[in-house]
Amino acid sequence: MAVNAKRLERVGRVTSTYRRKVKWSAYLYLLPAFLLFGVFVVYPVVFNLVLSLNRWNGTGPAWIWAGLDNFVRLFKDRVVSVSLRNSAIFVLGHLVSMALGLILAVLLKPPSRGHSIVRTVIFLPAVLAPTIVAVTWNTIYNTSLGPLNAILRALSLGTQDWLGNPQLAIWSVAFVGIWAGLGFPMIIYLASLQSINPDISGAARVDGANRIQEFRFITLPLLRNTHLVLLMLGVIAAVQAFDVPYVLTNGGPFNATSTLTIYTYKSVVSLSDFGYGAALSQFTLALLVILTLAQRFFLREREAN
Amino acid sequence: MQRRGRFTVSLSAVFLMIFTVIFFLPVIHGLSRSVSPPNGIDNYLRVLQDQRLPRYFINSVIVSGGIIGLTMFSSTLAGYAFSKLEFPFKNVLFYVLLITLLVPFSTLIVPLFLLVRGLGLYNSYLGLILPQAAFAVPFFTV
Repeated sequence: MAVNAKRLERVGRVTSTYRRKVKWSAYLYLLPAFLLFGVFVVYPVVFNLVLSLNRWNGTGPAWIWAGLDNFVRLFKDRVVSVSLRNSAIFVLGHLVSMALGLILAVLLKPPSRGHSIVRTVIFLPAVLAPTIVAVTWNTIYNTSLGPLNAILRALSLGTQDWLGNPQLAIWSVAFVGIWAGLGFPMIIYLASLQSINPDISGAARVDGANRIQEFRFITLPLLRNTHLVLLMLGVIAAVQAFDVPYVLTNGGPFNATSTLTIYTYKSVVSLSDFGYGAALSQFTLALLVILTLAQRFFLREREAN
Repeated sequence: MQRRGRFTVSLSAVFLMIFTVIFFLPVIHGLSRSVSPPNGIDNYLRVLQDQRLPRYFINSVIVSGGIIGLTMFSSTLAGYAFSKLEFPFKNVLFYVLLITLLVPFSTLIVPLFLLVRGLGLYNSYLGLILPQAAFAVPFFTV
């Protein structure tokens, strides 16, 4: 035993000195990753920052210095505020997806054949290409031929112009987001649920907790990190949302379903307003960094308690 | 191991069944649209006979293969360095790399287009592979 302990100690010391020793070769290992990062991420971001301070129509050689004009315009732009509201609605939709995903995960946890079918079906939209999702729903929402309105007509309820009504369109888009976005949180929750030690819930059961109390006081708190990661990914996706709303509504009607990325794209591609597009995307980037840092900060706060 | 009342089990089964059916309807709708009149199954025959389709498929294989290869090469190296080696600014570099995940693609479209054209990679596989690999690296390093 004594010999063993000594050997263990020696091994421990060797590994710790090995670990503490600065390895300059590490930079060599990082070189390929940072080379790609530098050329294709850092350079474009800096380029974009400079572009956002100019006016440029994309073809002419001249960049006209505009200072902060683009950003001043951005803060007064109604489409920007509508886009932010839409992203907030998408975050709400993501919260619904998370809640439903959690409920489904809890129900689907015990393995059975029926459950695996349900799991597959619900995960299916998550692996469909976003354009396919959008095209399918476009036909479903179709005012005159779509099955949704056909059902409403059959029940003699009023039909709706799901994507054409500026007040309604964003909710229709958000619903598609919930449909397509439910599979991912469900799978993540399932994986996290399966990693919870059954002894803990067993102990709660012995202490007289019923099913709901067990869920509320054991399962939910243990999944805290999962909630936070899913929320963070959802916020990023909501701010960057592009493909589904773009194909479904093209940001319309009257920009009612626009998002920051769609507006950026339109400014650059349709309006050839490169400077303003650059300013918009720079604003999006800043917003994302702030939101992510804020979430990290609150996460730390709660951890400290 | 867990004992459940028969009532809870059937309640959950009913809920799941209804939910699954509602969830599946749009997919069925999409499928039925693809074979509905006037063209019926001809739509699929046309897709299979389309001359351009093999080309598109090969393009996808080449591009995704290139992205995977390059990403695996650089992320395994970087991942090894971050997890096993000690060096100055380790944490700073890690978070810097993670910022990539936050950059919206729209920020980069215009500069990337000009950059790729400037490097003479416009209209080539490499022009598609390199930027996308750069975007995938931080994700797989984590």
